[in-house]
Amino acid sequence: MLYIILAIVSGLSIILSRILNANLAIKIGMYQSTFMNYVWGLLTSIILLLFMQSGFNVTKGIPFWAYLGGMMGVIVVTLSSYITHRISNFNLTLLIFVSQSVTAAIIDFLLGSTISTSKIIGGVAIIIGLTVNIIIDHNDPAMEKTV
Amino acid sequence: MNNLIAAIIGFIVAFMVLVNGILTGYTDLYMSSIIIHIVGLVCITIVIIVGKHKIKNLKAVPLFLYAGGILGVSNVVLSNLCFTELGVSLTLALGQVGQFLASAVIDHYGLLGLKKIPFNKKKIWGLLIVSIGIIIMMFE
Repeated sequence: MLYIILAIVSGLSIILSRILNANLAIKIGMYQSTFMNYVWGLLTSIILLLFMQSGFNVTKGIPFWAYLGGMMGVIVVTLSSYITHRISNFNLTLLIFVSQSVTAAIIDFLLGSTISTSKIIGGVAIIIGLTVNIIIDHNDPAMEKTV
Repeated sequence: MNNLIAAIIGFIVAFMVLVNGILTGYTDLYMSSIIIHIVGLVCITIVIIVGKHKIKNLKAVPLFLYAGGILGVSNVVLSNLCFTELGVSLTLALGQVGQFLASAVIDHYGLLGLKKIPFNKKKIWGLLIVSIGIIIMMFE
């Protein structure tokens, strides 16, 4: 049970992190907010490494592109700060999830693994449900300025 | 346009998860987190210097707004703790549930300075179909 709650909390932390960074961006600027996100993130990571006493586990021969995740993270954090106050938070979460899942499935396919039937059926269901709600949003006056 | 930006974020996240996973394979969870943040810090520092963006007002901001970076790391650690106990699929599915619940509640009450968007009950059916889709997808 504890781990089930922890897993849900990990999802919550993604949302909180995104909104706090967006609110910080309003106060000090978008790029400055991303900068502070990485300063505090780095400090936290260093403290964790020391706390866990896991040492410097680095294997030789890391390909150059394996380092590019940090760069992609900067784009993701900055774009998220920009978009958070411009769109319904729930729709943002949903759109990111769908786009990420579709992209991951295509990457898997291109890397040689087959896409399972359950992934296709699940994906189609998600897109149908999304479309239904996007149509409802369009007819909802409260959503006019956000979607 | 806003929806497109949201989709682009998801697109980049998919590649980021893949690349960061490979880096973690060469190192470990904590070391890779440090490397990822150093690379990110270098990139955003270049953007700030080249764009001549001034860093100011840092002390005028309430301290909790700086927790974004800490929460970003805690997410990685939390989900990794759960992977060993719950498996990858269940952990990711529950994390997704947490994300949806949190954003629905925040929208509905307009928390944390976001625009208040009351939940439209008509959307419950669409969400049900989406949830079934997610369950089918995660547990093959």
